[in-house]
Amino acid sequence: MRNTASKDIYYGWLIVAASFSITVIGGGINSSLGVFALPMSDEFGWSRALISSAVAIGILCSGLSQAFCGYLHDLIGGRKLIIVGILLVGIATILLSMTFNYLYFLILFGIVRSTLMSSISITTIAVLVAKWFKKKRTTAMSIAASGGSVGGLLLVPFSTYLIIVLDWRITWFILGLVILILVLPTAYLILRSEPSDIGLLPDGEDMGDNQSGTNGLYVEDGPLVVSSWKDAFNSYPMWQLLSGYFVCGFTTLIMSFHFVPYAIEEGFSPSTAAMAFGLLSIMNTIGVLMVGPVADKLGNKNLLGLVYFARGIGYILLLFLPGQYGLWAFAIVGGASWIASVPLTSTLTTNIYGLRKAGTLTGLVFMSHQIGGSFGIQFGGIMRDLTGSYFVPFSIAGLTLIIASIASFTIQERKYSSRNILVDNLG
Amino acid sequence: MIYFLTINKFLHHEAPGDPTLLKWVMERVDHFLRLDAAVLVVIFGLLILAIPVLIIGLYILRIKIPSGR
Repeated sequence: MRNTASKDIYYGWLIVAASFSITVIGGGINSSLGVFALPMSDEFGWSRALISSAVAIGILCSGLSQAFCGYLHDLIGGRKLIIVGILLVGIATILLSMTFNYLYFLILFGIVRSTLMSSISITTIAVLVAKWFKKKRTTAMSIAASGGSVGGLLLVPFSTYLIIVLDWRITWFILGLVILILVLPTAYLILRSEPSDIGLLPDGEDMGDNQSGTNGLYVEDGPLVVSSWKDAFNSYPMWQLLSGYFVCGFTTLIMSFHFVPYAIEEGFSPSTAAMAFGLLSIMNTIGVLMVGPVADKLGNKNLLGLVYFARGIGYILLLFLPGQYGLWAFAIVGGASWIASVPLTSTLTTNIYGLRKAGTLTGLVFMSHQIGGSFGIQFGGIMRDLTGSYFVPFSIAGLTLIIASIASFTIQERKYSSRNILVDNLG
Repeated sequence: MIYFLTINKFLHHEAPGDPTLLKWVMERVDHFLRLDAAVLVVIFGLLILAIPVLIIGLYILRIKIPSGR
């Protein structure tokens, strides 16, 4: 049996909506760990450092498993991978309710669940979405990526109040059920690996309509389209994307983990810090949603370069503007760039290297991001201890962004972007 | 409303938020809304439920599933 889309809505947008739902709930639950930290620490007597270790291991496992999940995506298709991933993440989340010691938590949260989360991360989601869109690829990816922000807004307070009303064990259990009861059926019902699964082409063109008069097939072609992921490493854009995303991870996670100590050192009140980052949150949601339509019209690489440059400027403003001005300037300028790099990098990867090995390549690029992030967290802490302030590590972060910006601006997107060409299969 | 948005501050690639700041933010939310925690669970639960329900609803309303063609 084959499904077909009605004329008033392209099925790809339903794929985006389902992907958004996955990133809302999957990402939102991941973001909620912070609210579990205090009650779990209270019950088991864990220090904040122990919880942080589990988080750090989780980031590392997530990074390392991205490429493998991307490879699986290429092998078995997005639908199967994501549905199985949702099922296993739901079960792992429920099992967190049975935590009885730190080792159990470390293995289940830090290793097992974080690894499983890679199967439903923005990496696999982005590749799935990319297969449905050509002209509006970045827009579609931007919407899917914004789910992580929306998820935090909903799932963190939900988890917090659930812990207050019930307790942390029941809350983990309910969050697991939310995944299994809400996300799994949505994905099962709607997700399809490729448009051809329902007789469509990317952007909603019908196979029959577009091949009338010919017996042709659309084939993806371009100077750097690869049939083996290893081939991508023989070209400059792959290294430019890897280095840019490494810096992206470095500069976002160093701030994520060291902002609170920095703000305290600089004498900001919690209300000022929280308000500034409230503004940052508004800006990052606006930024990621705006970047898609603009990139689809003007290209991705210049916008990516601009995003990194803006974040670099944000760091400079944070460090050099007096008092609270730096904080607000960083929230506005840096905030707009916070997530915008995600759809741009994923789109460039798929546009340049094609979709055949997009899962593996996007996974590898994301792995570079997570390695950069892990490095950034450690670097920030070590440099703070060595120099006595965050000025040096944040200055270096700002400088690396200028390098990432140059690396992105110099990607030859127009020369290397793949395109779909119609070939006559009788010829 | 601004307090709701602050919880989102660390969400780059779904990284967990800082527990200290999250706790402070939730205290501000309590102060701002002055609602019982159980009521807030229901409100946020309904919002979370609404997303997949709306998407599945859209799927059922807009997509025809013919027996084949």
